[in-house]
Amino acid sequence: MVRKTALFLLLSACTPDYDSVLVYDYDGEGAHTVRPVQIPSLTDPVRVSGPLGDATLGGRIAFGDEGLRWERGPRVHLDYAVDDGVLVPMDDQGMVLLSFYHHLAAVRDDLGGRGWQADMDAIFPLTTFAWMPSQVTTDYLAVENAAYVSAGIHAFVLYEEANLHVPLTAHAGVVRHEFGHAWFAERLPQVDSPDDSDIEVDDSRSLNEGFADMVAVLSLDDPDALPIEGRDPRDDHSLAGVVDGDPYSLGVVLAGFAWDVRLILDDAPRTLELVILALDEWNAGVQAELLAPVSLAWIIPFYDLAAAETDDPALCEAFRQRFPGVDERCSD
Amino acid sequence: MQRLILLALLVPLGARAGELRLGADVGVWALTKAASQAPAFSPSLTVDWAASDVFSLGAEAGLGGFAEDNDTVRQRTSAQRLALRVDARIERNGLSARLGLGPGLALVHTRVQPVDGGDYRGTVLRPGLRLRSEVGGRFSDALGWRLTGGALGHGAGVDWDAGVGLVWTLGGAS
Repeated sequence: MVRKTALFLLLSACTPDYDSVLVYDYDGEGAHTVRPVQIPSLTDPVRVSGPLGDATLGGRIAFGDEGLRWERGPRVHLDYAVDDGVLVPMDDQGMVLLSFYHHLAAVRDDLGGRGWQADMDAIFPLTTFAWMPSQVTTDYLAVENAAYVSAGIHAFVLYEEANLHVPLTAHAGVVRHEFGHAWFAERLPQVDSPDDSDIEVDDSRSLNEGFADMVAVLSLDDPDALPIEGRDPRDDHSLAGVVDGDPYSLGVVLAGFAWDVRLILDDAPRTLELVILALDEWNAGVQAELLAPVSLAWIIPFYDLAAAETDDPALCEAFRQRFPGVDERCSD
Repeated sequence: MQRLILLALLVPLGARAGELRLGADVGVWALTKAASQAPAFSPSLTVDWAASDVFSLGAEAGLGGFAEDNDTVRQRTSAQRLALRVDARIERNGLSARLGLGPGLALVHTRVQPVDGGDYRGTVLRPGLRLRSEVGGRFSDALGWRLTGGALGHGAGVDWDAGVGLVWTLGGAS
């Protein structure tokens, strides 16, 4: 009895109770504040682990002719103290990893509550989210910051970036952007496995990047959600500025038009629904050979879905400004 | 009581009274973080007592810490290292080498101050195993120099350290 009591006291002393976790929380308009938040799905803070997946250190990712190869690193061991019920990580990396988990849990809960629970159940748990894995690249996709790794690996890789007001991986918009890639891969698994698809990976990369931006911006209903220069959907990105071979240059045009639609409908959640519906229709249209298997063709079903919601002429004006020379819709 | 404890420690080693050394070192202590290590400037002090020609008993204390600030938060981490060791030692022609092992402990403190308000603090204990090595020499009978390298393994990982220091020898002639 005495031994059991002593053991209980010892364990209690080692794992003090907490009711909230100190993280970089999102305030909107690109701003973050460090404050305690509740993260019910964080079941093991020492491992930064729960039903979303668990964190690992290092590991190795190799890009080669044979595809992607992933070697998993060891699990995280995060020290923390508890101050007045608040779990306080012992260093900034701990707070970054916990913040990443917080933002990921927030987008999962947010979208699950909007009717996409089945998608969330399919996406989570992730294989891992890996802190600073080493990478060997041959010809493409040099990763410098956060990234989603598809092709059956289904993991996030997280890197340090100190040029923002918060660490990159602790930025809510960045996390939601990367989550957008995971969602894209989940809804279009055949694009993720190019051998089985009519759609080449390179031809869908612009839509993948644009979609990830749309998920970040529309799910937060915040055009300042992405802290990267040139990715503001309010800017006058248009097809005239697209650079061949740069998936981001077309992606920002697609995301910019989605933001135009959000402003016209004055409804971010509905706009995100249209984005998803258009993704499905684009995919079905490509499989039926009714739409070209390229990113730009996504604007056709998206425009039609938006036009069914409003007769505001601003929709056509926005389309013409974003996509000059595309005469499938809104041509004079 | 202290003498009895000391005798209990020394008798199994076949010890005899020897030199007492005080050492002061400066160097780097790579503290374990959540996902990597942070190098920190680290002063340390040691006391060791030569129990025999081949063994000594040592105690050490060291300090370290680092700061991580950005536009949103100030975060300070500081740490103290304490360890007791039994060292195997050898000295020839004015050069010496030691290799020691014993229990160690790091106390790690953090203070997080968001710029928008709030002040959070905490301390964790990291008990573990201390391994330390040194090579050195003498400037004179009393004053010597050394290079040190060590590690403290604990549940959160392994802290590495390296330093350079001076030693002052009192008594003994081993």
